[in-house]
Amino acid sequence: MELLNRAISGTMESSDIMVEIIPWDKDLEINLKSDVKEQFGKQITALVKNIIDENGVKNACINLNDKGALDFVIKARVKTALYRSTKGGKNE
Amino acid sequence: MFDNFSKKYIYTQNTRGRKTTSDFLKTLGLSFDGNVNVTINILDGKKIIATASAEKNLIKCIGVDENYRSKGLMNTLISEIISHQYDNNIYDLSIITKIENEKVIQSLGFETICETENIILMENNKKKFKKYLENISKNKVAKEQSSAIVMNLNPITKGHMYLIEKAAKESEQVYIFIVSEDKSKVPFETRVKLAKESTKFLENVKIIEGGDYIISSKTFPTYFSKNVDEWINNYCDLDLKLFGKYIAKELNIRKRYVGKEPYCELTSFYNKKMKEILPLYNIQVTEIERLEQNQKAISASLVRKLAEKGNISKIKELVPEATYKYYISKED
Repeated sequence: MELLNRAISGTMESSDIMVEIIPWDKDLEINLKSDVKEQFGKQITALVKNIIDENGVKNACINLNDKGALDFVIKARVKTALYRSTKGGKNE
Repeated sequence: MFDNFSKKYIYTQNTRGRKTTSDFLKTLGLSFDGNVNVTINILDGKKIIATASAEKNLIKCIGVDENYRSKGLMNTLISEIISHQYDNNIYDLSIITKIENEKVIQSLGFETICETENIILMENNKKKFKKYLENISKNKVAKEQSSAIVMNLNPITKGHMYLIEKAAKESEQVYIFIVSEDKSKVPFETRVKLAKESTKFLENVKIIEGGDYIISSKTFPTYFSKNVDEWINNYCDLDLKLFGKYIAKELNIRKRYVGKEPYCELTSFYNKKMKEILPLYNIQVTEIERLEQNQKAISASLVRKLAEKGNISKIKELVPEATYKYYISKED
């Protein structure tokens, strides 16, 4: 999967997560800001990294602002951001 | 969370929507800024309960009804604006809001750039301000003590020249920050070009682009709409603190010159605040009487008025040669 443009998905409402993907030429970087970072930070980062790896993306900066999203929400948001980043898709 | 709220976008052509938003903000002791490109309101039924607006990369006019606090409406609003601006390829955002919103905005990924007693400027790209300061410091001339003047130069007149020359005579080095905001009659590029040409003979004068953090719509959202309200005080605080605490440091500025303002209420208020605030950062403020001609202060607005009337010959005695030539070339 080749990323073409910056993209964003999700919201910062309670139980949601905002995912931003910025294509760049450096290695993958995941920045997590989360209300539950202490408890689930590692888990969230691993989950996101998994999805990114599955899609064969290697060079990107992923910014996550999590407000306590459950795993399937995180998955959906990351996949959407990836999709928008490859297709030039707009939000909604 | 399960309340039945709806979102509504209001664009510039929606006069009625803007009016209701403005009325809502008034009930919170805030005012609406006519320069915004987009407004997002959250409604409970037909009633506005929260609002935020954006002008390019600045989010402002944020207000939430007191009866609807702690429902996460701020999160909804800011998320919505971020996504909306993203679609328009605007990624780095700034927020100006009341200081009590600092914590919640912080949790939305913004960091504090500068705060005053009442308001706060926050940004989601912390590198931006740092980079700005780095660029400013590139202009540094190795001198012990420097002076600064912030000017719009719309366009540069003999009045400005009088002030600049006086500062140049009294200082080792003078930096002139030209207000970058392109809401003036004379475009920014031209204002810079005319200033550079007109001050070429002064060796210790350097022209610098004011950029985003000196009297811009970021530090001074209402400056360009010229309405004097209670927030003016806050914006003056913010603008002057940014200058005193950060910008002046980069260039060793110990003195700021300013022309006395006989006409514009806002500018004379700003000057008054300058004399209060800048000394706190060890910067002396020198106010210079304006150069007069026939008992009237020479002003750029007078020059613009004459230009509009096509009275170019009258302009000649009010401006340096470069400005005069500019108007002549515009004539053809």
